[in-house]
Amino acid sequence: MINFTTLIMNLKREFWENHRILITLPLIISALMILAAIGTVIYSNHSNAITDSDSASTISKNVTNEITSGVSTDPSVLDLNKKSNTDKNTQLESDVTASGNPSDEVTENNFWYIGIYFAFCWFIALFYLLNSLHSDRSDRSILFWKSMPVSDWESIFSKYLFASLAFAFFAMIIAWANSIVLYGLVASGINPDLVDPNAEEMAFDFAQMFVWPLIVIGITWLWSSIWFSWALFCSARAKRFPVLLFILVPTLYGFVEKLITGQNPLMSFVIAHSPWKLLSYISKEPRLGDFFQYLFIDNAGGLVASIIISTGLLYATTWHRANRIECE
Amino acid sequence: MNTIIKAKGVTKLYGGFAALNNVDLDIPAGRIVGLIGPNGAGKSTLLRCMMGMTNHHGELSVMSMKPAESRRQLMQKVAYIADTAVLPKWIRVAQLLEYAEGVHPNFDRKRAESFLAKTQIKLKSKVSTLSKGMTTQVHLAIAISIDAKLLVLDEPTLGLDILYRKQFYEQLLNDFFDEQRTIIITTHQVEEVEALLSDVVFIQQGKIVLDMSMEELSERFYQVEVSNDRISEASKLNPIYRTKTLGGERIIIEGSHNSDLPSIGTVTTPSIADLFMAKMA
Repeated sequence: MINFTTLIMNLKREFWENHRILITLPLIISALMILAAIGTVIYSNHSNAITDSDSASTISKNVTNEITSGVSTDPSVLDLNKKSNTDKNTQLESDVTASGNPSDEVTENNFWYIGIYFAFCWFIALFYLLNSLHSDRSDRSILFWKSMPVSDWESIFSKYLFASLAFAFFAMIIAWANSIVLYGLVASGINPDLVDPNAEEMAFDFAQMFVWPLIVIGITWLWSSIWFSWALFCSARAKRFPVLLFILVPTLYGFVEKLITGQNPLMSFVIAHSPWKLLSYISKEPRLGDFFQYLFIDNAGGLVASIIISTGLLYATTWHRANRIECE
Repeated sequence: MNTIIKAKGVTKLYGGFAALNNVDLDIPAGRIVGLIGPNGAGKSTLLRCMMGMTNHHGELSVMSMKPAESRRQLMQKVAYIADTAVLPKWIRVAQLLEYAEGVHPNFDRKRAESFLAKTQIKLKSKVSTLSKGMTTQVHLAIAISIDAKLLVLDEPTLGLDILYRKQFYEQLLNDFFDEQRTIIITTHQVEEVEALLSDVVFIQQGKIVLDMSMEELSERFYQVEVSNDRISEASKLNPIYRTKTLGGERIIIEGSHNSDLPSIGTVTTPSIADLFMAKMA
């Protein structure tokens, strides 16, 4: 059983240990986005000043939409896409009307803004997990942690929760804050004389910004649990290099599997359950209903299998944690 | 007297190597026990088995609990210091106290803070910035602020200079020990703990070779300073240990007191260090 107070304290402990990477990475991504936005605003103002006012206002509008929704800030891409964006907005409007519920929508462009944050933070979360149980064995601080009345399961579960939820959650908060900065920057940076007063107002989709990321964090926690728990198991099991165990064992197994059966069901399963694959799928699947059907009906077996395997791996991790103090 | 630790046939195997080999041990409550042995004898392994940190074969009961199955509950009643270098380097002293307070129902944070207030250690300091002696003081502050019935110290002063070592044991006696509590210490600096100990346990190659109280020890072992002209007489007493001294030999004899002993030399109780050499040789 898990004591709630102990769990909170353990999560706090993880934050103390990892707060730098937890906040620094999203801040770096934000800084890069802000720099790109500034560059785009300067470029668009410069190019709009030398073109006719009609096309300038269209470009400005599109640039504003693209940046605030976090898509490519490359000016050439934006310029080339100006027509397709207008078409896309029209399509989005018709989709919203068709579904009757804005929160049932996500577009590739809008979600990729937070998707970038998630993609990086899950990468870091996996490295954190690979290191988490190995580092305290190598510096022997495991002896101190184990001298506290905290069960091995409580320690492991708090690390699992922290990696699979807290990293993405912090990234999301910083992404939200950054979007406000970007909105302000773009809104104040574009020459108002160049903006068509009759153009549509800038779109801000609450669902895409706030609801979808939360859903994605929750779904990833279940769908990709096999990745997080495998990383944690490798960290508890490995004598020297958890990352090698993490990569080599599935790769070798997949190779042998391919050699013997000519197929690769395990590797396909593992890849399908990676957080990045899920992100990629979300970017293509615009409706919440379809997304849930894909996960909970079409792939219910895979989801259940992932949860069962993860539970087994976490159990094995707990056993190793209980009985393996030394690295060597 | 209550037995606080009871071990029967405890064995710990690492592959084919027996770090502990059929260990039988009873430790009564209210004692200060020195667990002494050479490197690799199995001292730390035995303590880790007692603390539920590793699995083992055989029966082991600590405060009426099976450590391997009830480590969480056990650690609410036990304080454990596993040498000086196990505090995580990245953490701040205040965070350590906050963590201990958050997870340990018997931890008294005010007591730890008042202990640390007497030292040069700042609560905002990171453990990585503290000297080895200061790190040990932080760990001791945490350990003595736990209302524990059993304190287990595994080489607590390893690598510390003599000032810190003396201070450590003084603080331990003044701030922690009373007749209700039990302390188990493993150390290489036997001379420094000799005066503290009420019981001594020698361990070698995973086996207990001596387990007795200091009173029993003084009744069972005798050290005799023998001059050169009495050496042949002394040899007949089957000494378990002999070493050359200026103008003679020092011998240790095991057994009941012999009335002839004073006639061959000066009889004293052997030091633990000498006895350790005698039993380990």
